[in-house]
Amino acid sequence: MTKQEFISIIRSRCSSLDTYELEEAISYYEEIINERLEAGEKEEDIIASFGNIDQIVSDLYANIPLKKIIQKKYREKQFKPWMIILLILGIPLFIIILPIFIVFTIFFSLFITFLAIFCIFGIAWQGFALIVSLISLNFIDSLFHFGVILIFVGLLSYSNDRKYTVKKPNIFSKIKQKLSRKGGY
Amino acid sequence: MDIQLKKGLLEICVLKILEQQDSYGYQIIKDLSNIIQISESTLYPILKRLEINQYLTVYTSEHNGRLRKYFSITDNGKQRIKHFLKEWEELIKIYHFIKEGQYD
Repeated sequence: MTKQEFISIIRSRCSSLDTYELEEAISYYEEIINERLEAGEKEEDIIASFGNIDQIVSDLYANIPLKKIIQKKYREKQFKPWMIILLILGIPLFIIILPIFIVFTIFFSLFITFLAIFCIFGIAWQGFALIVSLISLNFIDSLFHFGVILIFVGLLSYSNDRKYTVKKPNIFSKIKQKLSRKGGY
Repeated sequence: MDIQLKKGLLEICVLKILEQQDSYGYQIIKDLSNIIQISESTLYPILKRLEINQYLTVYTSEHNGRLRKYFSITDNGKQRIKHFLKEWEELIKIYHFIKEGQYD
């Protein structure tokens, strides 16, 4: 086994060690290997003299406080019990809220769509009025119509904002996303 | 030799080496191998434990274009050696009693 192989095995077998602990251990073995290489020993002989790699790995784990390992495992894998309880308690509430949410979403998207259509017509109407007032040299009126156009343009761009253009209730895709992320662990 | 006993002894041996002068992993193993058998994987946890207990401190120094980790004994470490020797005076009394059945 070469030095690189040895180190990569340690690295992969001790991956649930604290990063600092792992790097410290690796640098210790690296230093020992380098010293012995300088003393004229062969790379393979040095690694072989370390003995069983399982023993080295278990020594590294034995050395750190148990609490630290458990904490790390807990962070990685534990699906906390209180989360399950919360989930169960939340289901009735969820069933009540879901239809309301869907209806609200549909109405809101309809409202936004109508608002957009209304704005387009408004712009056309006020644009026409603006041209008429410009032709009749009534600049005060033109200024007014121009202002109203700006208001419609503002409303239109607001209703076209991506947050509000709800084509379909996308709550399902969001749930799907969440579930698939949970499944990933 | 009993593993726990050996570990305890090794700790004191490491401290004794460092009391003489600062040293680094490979050198410590070489020095120790004259009196007690030790492998690299045994030394590592010992050094860590001594560091955690503040019996030694660590610093790095360059050697041949790479870093070498040096260990240096603290006052706590020196106290530890003294304490150990004192404890063993008692142990020796017990040893003599077990061997010869005599009180001093």
